[in-house]
Amino acid sequence: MRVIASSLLSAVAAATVLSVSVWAVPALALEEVPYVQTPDKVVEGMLELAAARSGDYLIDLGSGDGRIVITAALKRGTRGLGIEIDPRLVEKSRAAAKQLGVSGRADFVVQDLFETDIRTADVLTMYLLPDVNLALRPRILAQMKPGARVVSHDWDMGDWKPDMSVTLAVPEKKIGLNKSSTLHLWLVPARVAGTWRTRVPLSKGVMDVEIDIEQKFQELAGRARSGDRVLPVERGFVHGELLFFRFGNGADTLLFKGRATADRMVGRVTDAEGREYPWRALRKTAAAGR
Amino acid sequence: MQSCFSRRALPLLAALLLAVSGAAQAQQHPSEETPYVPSPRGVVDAMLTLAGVRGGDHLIDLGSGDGVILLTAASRYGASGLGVDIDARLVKRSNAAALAAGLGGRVRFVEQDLFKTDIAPATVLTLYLLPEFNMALRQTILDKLRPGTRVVSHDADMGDWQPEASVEVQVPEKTVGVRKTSMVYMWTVPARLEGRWQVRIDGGEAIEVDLMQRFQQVFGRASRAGRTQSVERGLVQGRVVFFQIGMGNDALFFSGSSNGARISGSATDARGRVQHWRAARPGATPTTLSVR
Repeated sequence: MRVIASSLLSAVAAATVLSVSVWAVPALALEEVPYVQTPDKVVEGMLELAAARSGDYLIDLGSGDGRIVITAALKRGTRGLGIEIDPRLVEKSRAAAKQLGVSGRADFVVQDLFETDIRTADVLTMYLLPDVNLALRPRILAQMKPGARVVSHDWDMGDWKPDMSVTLAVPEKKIGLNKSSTLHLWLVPARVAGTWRTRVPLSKGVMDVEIDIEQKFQELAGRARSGDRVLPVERGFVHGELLFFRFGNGADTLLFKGRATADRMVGRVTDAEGREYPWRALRKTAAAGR
Repeated sequence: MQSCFSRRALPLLAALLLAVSGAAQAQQHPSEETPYVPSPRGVVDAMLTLAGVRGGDHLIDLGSGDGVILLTAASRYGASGLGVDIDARLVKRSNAAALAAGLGGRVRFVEQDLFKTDIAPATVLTLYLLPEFNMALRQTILDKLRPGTRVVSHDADMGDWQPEASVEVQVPEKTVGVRKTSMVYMWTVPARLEGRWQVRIDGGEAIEVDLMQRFQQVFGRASRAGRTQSVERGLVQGRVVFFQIGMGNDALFFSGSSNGARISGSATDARGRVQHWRAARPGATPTTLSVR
């Protein structure tokens, strides 16, 4: 993995771990770009945390010697693209992919990671720096597919809390005081802020409801309006494409779960008696902001 | 729920009641130690609305006073009810009012100690008592009422059992207290889910789940294919149950309903696949909800 974003960097010690001969690329002291290889154990951990699998398209931002994209193609059957600003590392990555017989599923390009189109990725892997993560965050949230998995080595995303984090002991790690790596996973949350219209069952009949949803990353809040009744939306959250929330009290309690697309929610609702009904909602308006 | 109630067994309550009912002297029933404070009309409406009273509901009103709550519930919503009050004259007056309104077949009032009342048949329990009385009744409410039963209380809460909803009602004519408002609180009796469960997902995993419960919150641990994961986001609202096991791509979301002995519903995995699940207790079903 490679930290790019030359303009954002001060300096990070460069280090190389030569564990696989085809990836034996010495760290080239190119300008101010620190290049820190990702230990194999961390590569495996990142792919495991991302649940990378056959059919996934993986983009690795700062692909360095290409090991994440190549390992994912070899061991998990993904297709992948590595983005790297150093042409020599891109050359080496291509050569390694070819040698290992995965050049059809592991491609590499010389590109600034801020120019990369990440919309098609099912999995995005990153070993960057905190401010680079934060600079990428708005694009990840706005452009990536809901449910896509983002895995970052060591650095988080500020107040967008990870859905899961694991820490691995990495005795061979060459940077930092702690000989360990923390891996974070985020599921790109469905973008559900705005006003939705739905019809829901109640014990006394159906009820037409307008739901205003406010969203902050995975957390949802808002109001459900039906006639002159206004109820708070509670316990709301998204998990990738999935969303969950409830409103109503006592015998009118409704618990919603479903899958959200840009203009539609489809799922099931549980009433106070525990009966489940199919349920859907249509978007009325998008929210002004996220 | 017109009267703040006193137990005959607790004579020292008289002093307590007098302490909070200073402004109610004029309204107080002349005899005994029972302060009788009528519920204002707006409060009655708020209680019945918040409880979602409807036809088929059976209300039990502890401290029924002049009977206005049950009479309103019966005449407006078609509910049935039992009112309990310790004041024989108020009970008599309430029964007479029910007869006069043609509701004698649906509501009745009895002179009884509220702590000796069998509240299990209620689908809605209404209370206008002192906070100490709510707290003394709380365990009985949690243990005896069926999951999903609604409890509404005028002014007094239930301590650390947080209400599911509350509403503040303007009551300019209020005769007790400094603020001319009343609070109405609402709770739904949660299913008693504490303990060990064997969860089976159709065509999938078997998971052992140890649940702890604090009122409507559940939490605990799950043993899943040899790994221990925590139970997150657990909620019990009446019979409705929701919780999450595992995180990230491993997450499973369970929703369902329970009467305390079994749970069933649908489970959603992180990829959105929905499967039926059910859970049974390997041991006995607890009869009480421990309140730590």
